[in-house]
Amino acid sequence: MKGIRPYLVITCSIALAGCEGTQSALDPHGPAAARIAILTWFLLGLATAVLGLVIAATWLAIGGPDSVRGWLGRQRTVVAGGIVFPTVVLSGLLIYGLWLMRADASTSTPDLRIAVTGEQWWWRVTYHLGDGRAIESANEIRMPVGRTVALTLTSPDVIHSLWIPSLAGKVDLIPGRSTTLRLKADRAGIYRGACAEYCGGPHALMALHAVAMPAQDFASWFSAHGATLPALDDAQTRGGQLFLSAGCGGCHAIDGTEARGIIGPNLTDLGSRQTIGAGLLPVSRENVARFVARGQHLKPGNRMPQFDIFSDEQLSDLASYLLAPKQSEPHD
Amino acid sequence: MTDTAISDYPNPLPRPASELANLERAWALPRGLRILTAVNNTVIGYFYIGTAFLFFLLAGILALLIRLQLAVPSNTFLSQETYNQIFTMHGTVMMFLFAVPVVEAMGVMLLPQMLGARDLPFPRLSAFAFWAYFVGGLVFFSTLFFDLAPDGGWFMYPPLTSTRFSPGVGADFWLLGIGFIEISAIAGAIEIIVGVLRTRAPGMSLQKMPIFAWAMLVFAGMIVVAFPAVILATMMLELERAFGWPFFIADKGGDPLLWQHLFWFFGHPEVYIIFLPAAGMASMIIPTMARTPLVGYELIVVALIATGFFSFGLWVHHMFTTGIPAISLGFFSAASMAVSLPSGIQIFAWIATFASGRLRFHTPSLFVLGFVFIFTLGGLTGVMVAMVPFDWQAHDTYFVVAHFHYVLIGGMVFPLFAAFYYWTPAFSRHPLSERTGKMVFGLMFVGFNVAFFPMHLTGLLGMPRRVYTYPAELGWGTLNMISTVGAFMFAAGVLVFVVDLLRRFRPTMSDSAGNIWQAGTLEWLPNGAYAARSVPRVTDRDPLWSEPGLSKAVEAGRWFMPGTLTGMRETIITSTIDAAPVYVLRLPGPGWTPFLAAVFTAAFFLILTVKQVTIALTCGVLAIAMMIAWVWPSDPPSAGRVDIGGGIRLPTTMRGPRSQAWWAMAVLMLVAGSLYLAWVFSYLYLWVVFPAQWPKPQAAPLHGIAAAALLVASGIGVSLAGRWLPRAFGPWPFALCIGASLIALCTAPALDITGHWNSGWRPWQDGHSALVGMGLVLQGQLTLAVAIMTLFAIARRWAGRLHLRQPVVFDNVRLLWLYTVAQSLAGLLLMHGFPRVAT
Amino acid sequence: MPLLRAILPPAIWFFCFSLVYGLATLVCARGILAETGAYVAAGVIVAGVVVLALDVTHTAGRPRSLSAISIGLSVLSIIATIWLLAPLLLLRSC
Repeated sequence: MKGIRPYLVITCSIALAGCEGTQSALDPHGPAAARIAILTWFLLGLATAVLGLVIAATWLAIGGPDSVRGWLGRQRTVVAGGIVFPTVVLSGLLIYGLWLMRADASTSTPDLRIAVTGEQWWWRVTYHLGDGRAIESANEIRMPVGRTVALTLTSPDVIHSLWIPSLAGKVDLIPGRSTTLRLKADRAGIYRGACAEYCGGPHALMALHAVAMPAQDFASWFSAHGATLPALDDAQTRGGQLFLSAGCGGCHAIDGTEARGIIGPNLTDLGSRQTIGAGLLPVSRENVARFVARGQHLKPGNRMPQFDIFSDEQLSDLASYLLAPKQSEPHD
Repeated sequence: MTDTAISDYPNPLPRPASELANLERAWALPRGLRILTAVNNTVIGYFYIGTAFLFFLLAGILALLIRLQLAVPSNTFLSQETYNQIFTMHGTVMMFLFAVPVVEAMGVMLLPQMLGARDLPFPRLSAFAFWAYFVGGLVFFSTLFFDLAPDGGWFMYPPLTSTRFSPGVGADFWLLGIGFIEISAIAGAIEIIVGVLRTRAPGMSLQKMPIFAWAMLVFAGMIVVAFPAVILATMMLELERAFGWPFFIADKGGDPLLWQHLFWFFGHPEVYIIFLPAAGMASMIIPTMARTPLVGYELIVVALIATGFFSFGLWVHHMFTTGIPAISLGFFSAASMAVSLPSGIQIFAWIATFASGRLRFHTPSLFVLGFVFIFTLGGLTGVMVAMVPFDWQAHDTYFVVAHFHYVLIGGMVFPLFAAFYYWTPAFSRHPLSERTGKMVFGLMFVGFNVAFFPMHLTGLLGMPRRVYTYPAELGWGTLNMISTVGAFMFAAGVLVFVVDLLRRFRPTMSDSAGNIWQAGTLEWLPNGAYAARSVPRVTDRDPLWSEPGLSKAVEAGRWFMPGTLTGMRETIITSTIDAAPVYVLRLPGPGWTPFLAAVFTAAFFLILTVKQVTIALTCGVLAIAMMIAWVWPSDPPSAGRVDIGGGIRLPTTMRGPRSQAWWAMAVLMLVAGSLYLAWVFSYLYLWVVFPAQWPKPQAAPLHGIAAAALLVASGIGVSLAGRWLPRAFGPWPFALCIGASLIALCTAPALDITGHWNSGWRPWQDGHSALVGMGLVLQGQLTLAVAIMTLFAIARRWAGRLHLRQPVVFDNVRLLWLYTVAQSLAGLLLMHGFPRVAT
Repeated sequence: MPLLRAILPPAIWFFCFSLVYGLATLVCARGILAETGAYVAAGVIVAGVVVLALDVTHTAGRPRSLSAISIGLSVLSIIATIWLLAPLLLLRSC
């Protein structure tokens, strides 16, 4: 046992220090994840205790005092330890687990409905405004703190799984079916999530962020339809023209322009998102330019061809345009 | 302790001079290259274990490559495409080419000697099973070198693995490659069931059977029920990929979840299929090492059987995140809890055995202790993931990767290494080195825990499975590096083992190191190629302990059947429960036909994968031809009654439900039944989930009714054909009767297919139509098998080798025939009747 | 056959489990038997437990070795079957 102690210390330190993180089930920021985190610690404690019991019993059976060995060697003890004890413990656990599932199975009306479609290898996000209209976005879910958001999950291609561990467990996106994930964040923050079902190719690079904003901020973000935006400067205007002339609009939509493509992510609000490429790189002019010009190097196999046909200046213009704030327009 | 008096031995001394020489001659091993024709279970055992271990090393290297890639964030050691192939192959090779084959191989190697038999009941079948696996497995593995390996993960979920998203041939290699592994496993299962239940030494009742035999019996039973589900799934996915039958395509009324249900109905029992034999091996090693009989033998038998059954009710716990209703998930959570009870019983029984004896700390004991620790930890994380809400976080993350490596490496690999160190002295001239063994154990135990324990945390910190890289800012770098270091430490342990193996392991049939542990079971008797010289009557679970003079008496030939009674290889067939001798079974010797049949079978599947249909079909025909040549000498004429000693005279042939051939056919029918039930489940499942595209009933089912009538007529016909068996009738009446019945049997599915076709059915149209097509395929397959067997029977009749005294071929044809009729009638009822009553 | 009789208890458990799971699927996916589904399922489980309990108490006429095994299997199967009630009682809806 002595040799194990330093190893245990190191593990625990790493464990406790590393428990925090934007994509950690051990760092919950929502009620669903919090319930599961409590369950996790409870189960870990229970498992450690039972493991300790088995180690102790084995130890004593091999080298303990004869009276203990005599008792351990009896068939009765096998029945007690192998049937009675586990039955009691597992009965309790089963009830606890089912009770938790009941807590999760809320049927109350959610405060907000968002449709998330998992595609190879990005997330299509559609906010339902409640009046039959919707706003398109991608790779990021904005939500109000303290309110329940119901995500309706579908997939047009292969099976994916949406997992934002700080907020909740994961739910699969299965072609032909619609599943639901209810999310609620306790605090404002940015929570990273990832695709958790192998979907081929760059599955490892299919991430997203859930951005929880105070309810008021969210309300103003959500309904910022009438706000006036600054006009585009020269570089951005050039970029906008380039965007259309290079055919980007065939795959990507930018609300309020002729670009109406639905094959790829809607880029209207790219400027306000955390990342480009589904969690690949933080949004910045450089990274946008890099993704356009070297996308296949950064995310091999992704469905966007590499556009290494532009000059540096063109890329800069394009990136400026893409990052400029734009008006998301609801559609039916 | 019993002391058999001299007068109690069945066969007196001195033995005739030529008896031993004749025995040796009957069992002589082929020399040189002809060793490929050997069918002796020990030789096949060496090949089988060796090949499986080779795959362990190969898949282990793949694991090291994975760990190298994941050691640091954003690593570029492996490209994404290569990584995806490597992790798919690592899982597939470990699960299909190592785990199940190695435990089956241990059964092939150990069971006959342990049971007091001379060999398995169908030696050529095990040779076939091994060679099909050997050829097929190596070719499958080599796809990695041609960038043709599958990359859909070891459980190959559609739609990712449908043609649209996996257009390459890799997925087909997986689907068809797994096909012959499945054949191998099922062939082995038939052997083991019949072997354990019917070839035990006289007096070895079920109560007194070594616990490993119980474990292998449950193992084989589970294979019979579980493997057909994955066979059906792989057939369906291959038909979808090749011909567009949309079983799993949602747009066309199929369902991706159907694959998951079928696969995991197999996949979950699969891991217990892997674990139970290992637990059985541990149950054999611990009593010897502790020098005391196993405590709780009956409780362990209960645990083995309970695990076998309960494990079939767990499969949806692999699907907890698919949106299946919570109440359904609840049943699987409850069942997943239930399955841990039997494992707990076994652990406490082993602890009780430790406590009753004095454990000697040789290498096998160390590996067993390592197994108990690691497997218990893995079982506990298993209880954790059985809790649905926890699984919603842990599923598809490194937590689950940690869990299953703990239960699989802990629960199978560690007992396997214990078994290697333990049983080597019985099969090699030298045992393995104790000193090196302790080093191997240390490296493997520490390395394993260093590699896999951190993964529990890595997963909960958010790292999903099957990712070829991860960004640095998520903080997983250190944990991954630790895991990589541990993996290499574990590999170092395996390397040291391999070096010791090469230095010390010298396979031998007759001058092994012997019973250095003073174990009590029969595999430790002095052995030759013929197993033990004579077959003892068993009165105890540990015969070598209860009767100290047993080895000498057996070797001297005092017990039953000390030589060959007919000049051929033989073993005694005994009754199921009490092991009373029933007859003497003559066993075949070496031959090329099983080897060639296996090579051609593997070639058929593999060449079909690369779509060279004509060549593939030719290989298929040759495979069947080889099988016919192999079976031709079966059921030889009776050699009269023979005296095994002690006044016991036994027949040399047996007909009907007491014959081993009947039992083999019965097991095969169970396999077919399980396959069919999986199809029935699929059919009803699609009706439940996609009722909208259920077809309206078509025009009057004239074709179906006619088909049913023909089937019944053929069944009556084949039963009547038995009347013409007596030789006096000559070949014609039999041939005509059974031939006419065959025509009826074959016309039935043709009629049914025509009926469906005329009503507009096309199997590529939608999911339901595809399933109807699948049902027809299953009927067609069996019909084809029966047809070939019938022609074979007619040929034997003509050659004078099928008549009242040699009826076994007809008996088996009739069994399969009647089963085919029953299955086909059930299918007709379902496919024609159900759409008419279903809403 | 005595061996088959001995392994009847877990087979009964599997039968109950399949019925209950099948019922739940029909109820939740198609609404079939929606009103009575839970009661039918509970009835199946209770019937299963009763049959298993009877099996434990009626060991006469069986080989001793196999009846001991059968009793052990019955006990485990009774526990496993009773546990099937938990989801029914705690998760009343789909």
